[in-house]
Amino acid sequence: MKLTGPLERVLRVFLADVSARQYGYDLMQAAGLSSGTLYPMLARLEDEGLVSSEWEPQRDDAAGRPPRKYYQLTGEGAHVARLQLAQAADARRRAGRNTERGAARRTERRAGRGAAWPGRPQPTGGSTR
Amino acid sequence: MTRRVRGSTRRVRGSTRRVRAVTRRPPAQRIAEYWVRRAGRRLPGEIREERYREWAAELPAILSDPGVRGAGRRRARAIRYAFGVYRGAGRLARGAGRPRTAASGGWASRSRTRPLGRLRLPPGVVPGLAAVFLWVSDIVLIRVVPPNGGPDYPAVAVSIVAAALGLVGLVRFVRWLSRV
Repeated sequence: MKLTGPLERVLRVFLADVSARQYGYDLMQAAGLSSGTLYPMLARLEDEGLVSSEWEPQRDDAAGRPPRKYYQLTGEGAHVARLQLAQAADARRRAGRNTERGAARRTERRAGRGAAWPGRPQPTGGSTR
Repeated sequence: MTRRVRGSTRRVRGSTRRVRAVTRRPPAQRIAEYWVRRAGRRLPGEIREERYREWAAELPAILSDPGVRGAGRRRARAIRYAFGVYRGAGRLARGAGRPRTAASGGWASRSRTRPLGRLRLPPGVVPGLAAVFLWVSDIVLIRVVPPNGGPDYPAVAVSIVAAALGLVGLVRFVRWLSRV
């Protein structure tokens, strides 16, 4: 499962309350996605066994409304979602650190003090790139 | 003799034509249902029925969503939802193992005889588009060849044709909406 931005948002909504029943429209609103993005994603998650779906029982007070289908994370789905989100957060942290290092390096280079990249030997000569 | 029967689809005694149900639903819901139906048609048979039921069941919930203020906004949301579902149905169909072919209802296909696949626009859309095209042409015509004093007969003629086409398109579309 490749964690894309929209998928990450959907997983976060599911994980906010693992036991909650999520209807398609509610998921769309909570994740800020369009129906054209959400439903193919839900179908894929269902195929992979990470999400299960069920039809709500017909209620008497539904005022003639047809029953809706709701989605829930499976046990495995919750585990995989937590793992994926943790990995994504970790990757983001690392990327942030690298960006900070790069920014610091650029600032120092601009200041004319040579390349200062922590943890890396100073270049002996020529371009630092 | 043809008679409309409200709320049901049945054959009227003495009539040879099948009479379609006419139910009172807001136009926005009918438009949304149209796109949901079209979305269903893009799917392979084994998942079509269930998906259609699921999407159609969301429409009343969207149209009566207490979290969205204003009936107009709720209607707009329902139409946007249905159109999004139509867009996503192609991806769903491919995910269900159905290749995108000329018969899959995409906007374009490799077929030379039917390059647009099974593109079926609602009635009135083509005259409406033609009217818009003529109207724009009229404006361009007036800008390029400005009238010098007297009446600009070509521009007037084009405007009349555009208005007539627009009216025809509108009437057809409204009639179709009342039947859907």
